[in-house]
Amino acid sequence: MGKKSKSSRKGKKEWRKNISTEDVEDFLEISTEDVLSGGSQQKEPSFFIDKSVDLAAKKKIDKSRGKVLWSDKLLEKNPMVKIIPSSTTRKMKTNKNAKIVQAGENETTLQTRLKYQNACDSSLTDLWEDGKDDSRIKKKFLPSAIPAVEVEPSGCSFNPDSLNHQDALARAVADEMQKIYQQELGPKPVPSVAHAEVIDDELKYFLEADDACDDNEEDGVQISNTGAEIEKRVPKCKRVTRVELNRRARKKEHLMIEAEAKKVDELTKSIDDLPAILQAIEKEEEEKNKRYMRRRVAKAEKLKAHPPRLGKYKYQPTSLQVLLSEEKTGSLRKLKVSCTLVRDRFNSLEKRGLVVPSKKSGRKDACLKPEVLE
Amino acid sequence: MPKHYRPAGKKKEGNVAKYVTRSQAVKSLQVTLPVFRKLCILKGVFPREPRKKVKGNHHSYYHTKDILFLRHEPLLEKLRDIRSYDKKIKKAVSKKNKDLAERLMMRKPSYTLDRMIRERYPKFVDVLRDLDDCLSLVHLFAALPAVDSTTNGEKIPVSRVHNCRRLSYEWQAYISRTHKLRKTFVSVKGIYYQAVVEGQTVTWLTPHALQQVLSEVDYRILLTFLEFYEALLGFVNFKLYHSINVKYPPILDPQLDALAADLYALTRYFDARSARLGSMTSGSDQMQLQQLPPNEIGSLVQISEGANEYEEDEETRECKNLFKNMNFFLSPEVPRESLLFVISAFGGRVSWDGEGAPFEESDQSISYQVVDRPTLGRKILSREYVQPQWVFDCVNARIILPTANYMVGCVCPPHLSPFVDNEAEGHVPEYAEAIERLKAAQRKEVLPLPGSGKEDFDDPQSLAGIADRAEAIEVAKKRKEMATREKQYFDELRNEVEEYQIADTTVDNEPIQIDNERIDQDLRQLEEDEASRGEALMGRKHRNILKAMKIGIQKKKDDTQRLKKRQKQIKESQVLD
Repeated sequence: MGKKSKSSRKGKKEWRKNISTEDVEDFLEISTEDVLSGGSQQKEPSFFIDKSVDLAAKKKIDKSRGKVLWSDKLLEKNPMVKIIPSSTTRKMKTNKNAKIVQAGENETTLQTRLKYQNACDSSLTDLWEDGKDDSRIKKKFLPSAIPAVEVEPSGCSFNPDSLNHQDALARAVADEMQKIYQQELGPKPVPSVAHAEVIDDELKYFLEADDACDDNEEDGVQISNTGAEIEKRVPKCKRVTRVELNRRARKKEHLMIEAEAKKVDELTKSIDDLPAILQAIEKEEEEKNKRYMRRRVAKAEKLKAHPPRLGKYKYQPTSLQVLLSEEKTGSLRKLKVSCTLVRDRFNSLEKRGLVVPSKKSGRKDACLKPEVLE
Repeated sequence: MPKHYRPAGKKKEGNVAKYVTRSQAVKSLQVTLPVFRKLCILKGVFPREPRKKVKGNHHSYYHTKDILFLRHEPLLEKLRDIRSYDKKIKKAVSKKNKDLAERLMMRKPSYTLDRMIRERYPKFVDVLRDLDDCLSLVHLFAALPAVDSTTNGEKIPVSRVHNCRRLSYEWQAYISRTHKLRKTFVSVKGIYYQAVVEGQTVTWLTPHALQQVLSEVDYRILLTFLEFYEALLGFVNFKLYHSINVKYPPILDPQLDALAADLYALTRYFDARSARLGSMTSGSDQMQLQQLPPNEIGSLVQISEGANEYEEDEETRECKNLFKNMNFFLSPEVPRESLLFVISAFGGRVSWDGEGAPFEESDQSISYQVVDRPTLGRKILSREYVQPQWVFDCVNARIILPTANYMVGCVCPPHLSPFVDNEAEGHVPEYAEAIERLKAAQRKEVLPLPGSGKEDFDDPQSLAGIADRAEAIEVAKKRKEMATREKQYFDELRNEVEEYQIADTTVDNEPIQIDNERIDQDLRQLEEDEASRGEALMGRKHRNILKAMKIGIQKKKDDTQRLKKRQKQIKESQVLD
């Protein structure tokens, strides 16, 4: 079968012409009438409140909720026995965010209570009620033994005792000098601008000429040497005869026997020296142990002062905040607060290994004072 | 054959298996770096240092187990949700759909940290151990200026600063009410406080209440720490307030709240509660603050005892009675919050110049007025004018020091640190000695000292360090007997010698001198014998440690000797001048 026979197209494309628009026209008429007349002539309201109630979708569990134990049912006849249902209904979820106004509360207290409720979103409870011992929780690993808040020495007080003040100043000066010495003793950095004289083109050729001269001289000497060697070596290449080969084999055997004898000798010697060797071994082990202990102790000591190397940048401690001698006025009001505690707290976090030191934290902090060396 | 053969199915081993770098961790958790940082801080995961850094020295390494622990954290999902929600908001904002953006912002999902806190601190004792850092950070942020604009990445929201202030005041109110403060130290950095809460010492640092300048620090990290610590401190305050039967969060007099006199408002709240509990009546006539809801009274009657009766130990009582029945007035130039806290923590009553203060400057009952000016205009004779350092020094010494040194215009004596054990250091500053003498004098008035008490300091036996004094006394007695017998013997000898008329002066002098020296020598010998006996029993390791200790002690002694010499020299030079 080829194409479908050409049926009448009246239905397919003619339907557009065949639609009746009566109901639409009716509706428009009616609505315009309503609008013009100012009231609905229709008895039917366009919107209504659906008060019909669907049958609640009964969940499977509700069926079994109504059930009662057989034994309880039997005992039902006895009024003394209370029937316990097989499962409890879910507790009503409390709406935390709803504004619950307590009786007798007036506006101000309500506001304050709401302020606190919204501020801490979590409902405040006693988290550490007695008896709740979670043994599953393992022991916490402390990052470092450095305490969180280290109290400064007595010389850092706002009105320090003179000797303590000297001590603290000395420490601060020592830190500064350490930094200066490290900078001085370190390798000199590569200069950004190198010393150079301007060389003209003519001079350049002279430079090259010098180099070329030297090369030629060296080559010449070498060439002459190799020439002599080559002449000497050529006649020496003879065939290795059987005699030579036997001689070599015999020598080899001799050498092997001698080596074995030597070995045996050494063994006997070492057996004789056994106690000495044991002592030597013991000493070595002792040394090793000592070194090991020393290194461990040194590491532990270092850990008390600053964290292990955790990232790309090293930890840089803050300088000791001491009053300079001229700033020591003894008055709380005149105390010049130049340091910020923010930097100090951040440094403390780094010191305990909770924060990895970054590029910025190593930079010079604003509270570095120029020290007057006494 | 391949170089490193590993059987199929076997995972990596060694350091490679135990440690992952930060970038590997971030990739495996499928979060962004800031979210990872936040999660680590909240969860308490921090980088470690492996023995061998397999990927290089410039990475930070985390324990694989820690990262796996993080992966199963429900907060991770929450943070991811928040991130995608933020994207929605951003989209709405960029499409200029203000309505949608606002609606979305209202319903933003959030998370709570209770579970996290419970995980990290299963017991309350653990919290108290870690409370130092928490308190210091919260107090610091309470004093910082809030920066809401996002310049230079610094964004400290105002609400957080206010929350920190509230928490810090609540904590201070608790400490001062229960008289748990023990030591204070004013240094250049800030003011250190130490309190004892449920047997744990808590030390924290507050900044001076002057304008703090913001420095170049990564504030996002600090804010994450602050978030965790805020929640923690909230719960701690809750628990502590409940332990003294006070409702938390406390409802303050809004007038005082508005005047930013938060600490005072809290103390009034405490007083009101205790007054009501003491009365135990359902009437509201004894209430000082009428705004408090009356329905609390019903619940209060059931509470057996009020805030006053909790376990007080010796020290708390001592601290409570230090400034008892003393009224203080603070001038406007002194650090008000700090002094308010300290004075009320030791039982005194404070007032200041301003609205809502308990009593006026002209009140007759004021015993001390704290001023910090170079000169004073007019003085009222019934009260003493002192500098703020007097309060801090009294608190550290636990006695009322004489105010002569702290008068207006004087240079105060040095403010010593109570955290330093002077005897251990060896060097005792002069002022500390003066304070000790005052303390001893005061104690003598209260209790008659036993007769042997004073001599203890001069007794050479105690200085020599003999542990058992009874033993030493016995030994001394024995030596005395021996000495007397020796004396007899030498006397007889001398008589014999005199008979023979040999002029030997050395023999005459020796026996008389020997007695005194011998006793000392013998005592020293005894001490050395005991020490060496102990030493011989130790192993080599212990002996070496003992040697090192002795060297350290000797060094310290030398230092103190040097300092004393210098002091003498300075004094002499001063005298000469």
